[in-house]
Amino acid sequence: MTTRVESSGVESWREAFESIRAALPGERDVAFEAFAARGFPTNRVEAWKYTSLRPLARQRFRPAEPDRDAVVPFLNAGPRIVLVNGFLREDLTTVPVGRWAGPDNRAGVEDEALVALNAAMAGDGYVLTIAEIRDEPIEIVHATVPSPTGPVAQSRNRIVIASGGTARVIERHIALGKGAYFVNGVTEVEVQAGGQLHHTKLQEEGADAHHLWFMPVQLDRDAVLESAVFTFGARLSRNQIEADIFGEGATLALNGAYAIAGRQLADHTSRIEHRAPGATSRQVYKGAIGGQARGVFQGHIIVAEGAQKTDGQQLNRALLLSGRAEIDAKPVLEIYADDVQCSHGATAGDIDGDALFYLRSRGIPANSARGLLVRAFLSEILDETPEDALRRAVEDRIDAFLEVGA
Amino acid sequence: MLEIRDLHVSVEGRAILNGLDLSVGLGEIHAVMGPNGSGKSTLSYILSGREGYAVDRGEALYDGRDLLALEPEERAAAGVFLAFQYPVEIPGVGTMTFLRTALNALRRGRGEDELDAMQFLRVVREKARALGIGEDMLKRALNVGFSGGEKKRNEMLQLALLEPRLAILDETDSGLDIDALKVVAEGVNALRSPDRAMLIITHYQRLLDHIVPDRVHVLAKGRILRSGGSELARELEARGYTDILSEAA
Ligand SMILES: Nc1ncnc2c1ncn2[C@@H]1O[C@H](COP(=O)(O)OP(=O)(O)O)[C@@H](O)[C@H]1O
Ligand SMILES: [Mg+2]
Repeated sequence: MTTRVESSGVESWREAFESIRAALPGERDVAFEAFAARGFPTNRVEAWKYTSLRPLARQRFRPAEPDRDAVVPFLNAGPRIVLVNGFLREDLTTVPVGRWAGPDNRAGVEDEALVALNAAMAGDGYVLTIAEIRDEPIEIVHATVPSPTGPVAQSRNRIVIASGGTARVIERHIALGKGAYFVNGVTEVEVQAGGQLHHTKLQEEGADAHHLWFMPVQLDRDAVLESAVFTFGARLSRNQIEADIFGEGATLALNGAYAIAGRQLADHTSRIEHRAPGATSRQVYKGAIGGQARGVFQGHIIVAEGAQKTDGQQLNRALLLSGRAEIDAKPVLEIYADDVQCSHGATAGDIDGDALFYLRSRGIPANSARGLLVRAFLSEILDETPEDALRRAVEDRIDAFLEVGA
Repeated sequence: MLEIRDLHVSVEGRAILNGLDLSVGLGEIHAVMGPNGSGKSTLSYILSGREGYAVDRGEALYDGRDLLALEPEERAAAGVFLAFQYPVEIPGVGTMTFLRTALNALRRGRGEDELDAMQFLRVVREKARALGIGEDMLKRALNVGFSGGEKKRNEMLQLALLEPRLAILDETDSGLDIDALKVVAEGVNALRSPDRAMLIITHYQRLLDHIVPDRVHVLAKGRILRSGGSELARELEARGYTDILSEAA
């Protein structure tokens, strides 16, 4: 017997892990020990300085089980992939997909406790491979059914765009019912030479949910990834992207729009490593923050030696709609090449008083005027979205937010 | 309809208006002229309800109501309209969305039915054409990337659309070439009505060649120093403000 000194929360997770270990494919112990050695990150871990998972570590969660009956609402009538509680629903999935078959020690297991936990416990996940040009968007639904046991859904997914392939993908995160739950998921993205992926994530988790999602990205030569995230749900959420641009001339555009209120926390963290010359990365994150909510933006751009002609821009803007709303922004540029163009910008402030007065002076009531201005602020990101149904869904969420948050 | 009595207004502790009196009757057009920095825009803002101004003394009555106690949107609903000297650019808000939201808010307030998209389009197109405003301008975000002249025309379009009872025009003529000035003046003249009053604030006399006012007031040092008929505007143009300022000194 060995005795372990484990950080808070780890014991209950070990119990949970051991309860499902036998049923999981692949080697899991290494991943679990990687998690156990770190435990849930607290503010003392630099990358988690503004988002503490301490409250989460104190809660007990039970591994979510497959739900074969839950009814799942869709945005589009088109092709789709459906997961409920982190398990693929083959009966609802209309796109040919592979299944994740256990960890191969990829994707930052060594750095991130939560990713290691996912590698240890994920029971399922889709593998979508696109080699052709597909115009019709593929809707991927990650639905979770809350329950009094506090389920944790952990899936590990993968999108591969082969050379010459183009796809549009919408990933939606929703709750089927009310109550607490925890989602700790991963979507790995690999875009091979000349491939293109247009990816949109709509996060509409339940109000009592915790949502942590990790998206490691690999871009080969002339690959294109445009990914926009719309964050509305969850008590606490973190959307974390780590992009490895190893191919010359690749293009990465990461955008985000979020509207949060009450005591919500929404964290958008990105780390982009330019390892090849002539690549472009663009990031624009905009958040409307009401109530006592808090936004976190951490954007880290690394330009390696030899990655000349890199063009890396990031912009973070927050609209603080109440005196108690907060934004923590931490942009970092780390540049080891001399012929590059990189910049970052950040603004945070209240609604423009002149604009508000102009609208009100035309008879538009203060509330509607504020709503118009919040919508206008977020529209820059939304206007890039070509799918009508998705746009309407986002607009509905913004309207709902304005009812309570602004 | 508008009765301003002994109005004292300060901004950040600095007195801008010092005992201003002004009375405008229904159906009348009054011009307020004065040198730069004399408080003309301050007067227009205080009447339309902009924040940041302290009323230290005096009152402004509108149809006998305490105008200064109302929120900006309540004033608009009651028929007060300010054509801004510097119209605000609002990225992300479409000009058409804005116009329709404003018009329908006022119509709701008046107990009228809201206009649907088609009805609204018809009304806007007609009024825009009269002001030489093209479709492409209406498709852009509100005042964003508009030239100075386009912004002023857009103010006139709002005036024509919202049909206020008291229109305040703050230096609508500045930044307009002579052709645009004529278009704007025609637009304003077309809105002259026994049911409407107008307060035309201007630095120069040239707009008043086209819109002949019933009364002209000289605002300087935070007060109305002189009032007269439309001939006063021409006198000011010829002799400048110096005489009046020294008379008052
Ligand atoms: N927000 C403000 N803060 C400080 N001073 C102001 C402000 N607005 C106006 N003023 C001052 O008040 C005076 C009158 O300004 P304004 O009403 O714009 O004059 P006009 O329109 O006649 O040119 C000027 O001296 C101006 O600098
Ligand atoms: Mg002025």
